Amino acid sequence: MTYKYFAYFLSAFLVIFAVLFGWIYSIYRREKELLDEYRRLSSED
Amino acid sequence: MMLRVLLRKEILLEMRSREILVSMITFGAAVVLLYAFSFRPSPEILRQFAPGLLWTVVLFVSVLALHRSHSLEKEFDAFSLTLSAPVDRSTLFLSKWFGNFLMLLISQVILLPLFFLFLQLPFPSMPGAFIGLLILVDLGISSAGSLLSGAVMRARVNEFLLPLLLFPMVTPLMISAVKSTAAVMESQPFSQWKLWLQLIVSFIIVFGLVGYLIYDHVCEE
Amino acid sequence: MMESFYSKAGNRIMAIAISVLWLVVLYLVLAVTRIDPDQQMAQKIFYYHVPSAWTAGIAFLAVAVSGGFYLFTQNEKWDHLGLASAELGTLFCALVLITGPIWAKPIWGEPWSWEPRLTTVLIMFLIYIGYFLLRQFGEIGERTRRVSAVIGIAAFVNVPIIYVSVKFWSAEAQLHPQPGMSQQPADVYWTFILSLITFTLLFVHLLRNRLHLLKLQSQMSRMRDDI
Repeated sequence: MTYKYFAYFLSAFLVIFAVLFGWIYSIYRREKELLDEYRRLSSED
Repeated sequence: MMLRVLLRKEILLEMRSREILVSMITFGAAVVLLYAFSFRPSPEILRQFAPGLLWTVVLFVSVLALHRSHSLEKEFDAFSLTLSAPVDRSTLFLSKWFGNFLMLLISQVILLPLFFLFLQLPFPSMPGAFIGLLILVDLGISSAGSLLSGAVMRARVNEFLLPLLLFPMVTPLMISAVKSTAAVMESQPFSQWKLWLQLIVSFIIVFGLVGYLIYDHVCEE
Repeated sequence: MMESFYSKAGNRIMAIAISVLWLVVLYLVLAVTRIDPDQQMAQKIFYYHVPSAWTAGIAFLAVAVSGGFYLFTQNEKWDHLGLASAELGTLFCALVLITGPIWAKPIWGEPWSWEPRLTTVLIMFLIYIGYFLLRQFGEIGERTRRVSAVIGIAAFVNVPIIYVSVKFWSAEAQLHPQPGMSQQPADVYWTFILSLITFTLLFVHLLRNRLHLLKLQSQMSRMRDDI
């Protein structure tokens, strides 16, 4: 990979990757929190 | 018919207190003064920037009127009373639209001479075209603005939500207004700025229509 | 019954399929497609930049359409679809706004130019920031949902006017490359199409993921009320 402007491509790709993964992860965390709360509430009953 | 009654209500309300108009004009004059101070050393550059400055003043000032037009209704819960009257909601939108339009126009009768006086600009050589443009753009701002100010009315921080939504929404209108005003100020032939006029008119039609059709959903409790 | 999004086998398969497609596209972009003699690697950002813009476009269309349906049916389902699409549309908008300048820096010499499409995307981005603030600060309930549907529709009908006005406003900045895709050589064409498909599938997947979360959230708040 000695092509010109490779760093630009790489940074664009990494930004897209990081943003999408960050998004998926944040959804996953919020879902996990909800499910934990749900389990806690339903075990109390 | 109903429209006339509602419009009369808007105007009467304003005539009683005059708070919207007074604050619009004072605020507008303050902004013009700021511009005059910032651009003092270079009147030639100022002439190039004049259309842009003019429309930013108008837009800033319009926020006051648009905001007040719905927040006034919130006090004493007047809006629910208005809504309980047997009035078509679309007519209510038209009354807000034209009411705001009139406020804008009246404030400009005073602000425009100040603008040209303080910034030491010559009045456009085609006054008819210039005033026509002014009326059209005011119609555009107030159509989108009435819809949006109705939309944010119940939100907690509606004072800053309104400009936040309004400014990007009216960018096409502002671009067209600045471009066509610049053309008029330079006395360019109509064919040069016809496109901008078409854009302004389509903006008015689109937002007038959207507001007329869905304002119903905005104001319902 | 509440369960996580990935507990369904179909969703797991979809996630794996999209990851594989993503890797295939990356391979094609890096190793198969031809190198542009002037732009070299920078040109390859296009395989991600354009599909992001396309996805943002579908998302905003979905916001407007579901807004319309919400106003007519008052069904919460449509509001969820509108909110999820608006979030994803803004996310992909952000990707367009980030990758655009990264490409433009070496090619145009400056990261930002008031180019019509870039400007239109920026304006849409700003409008949707307002949309989220409205949802954030509006009272929770029916009214805010209705009002955001209205904003979604108004924002979308505004797109053509924004585009045309920005286009003629900065007539000197018409630097945006406009390659006719059908005239492109096969390697470029098919890689681009595959990337487009990958992004579209990814969008649908993320949308369903977000919708699932929204459903859980409303179930949960109902459950909290019961207790």
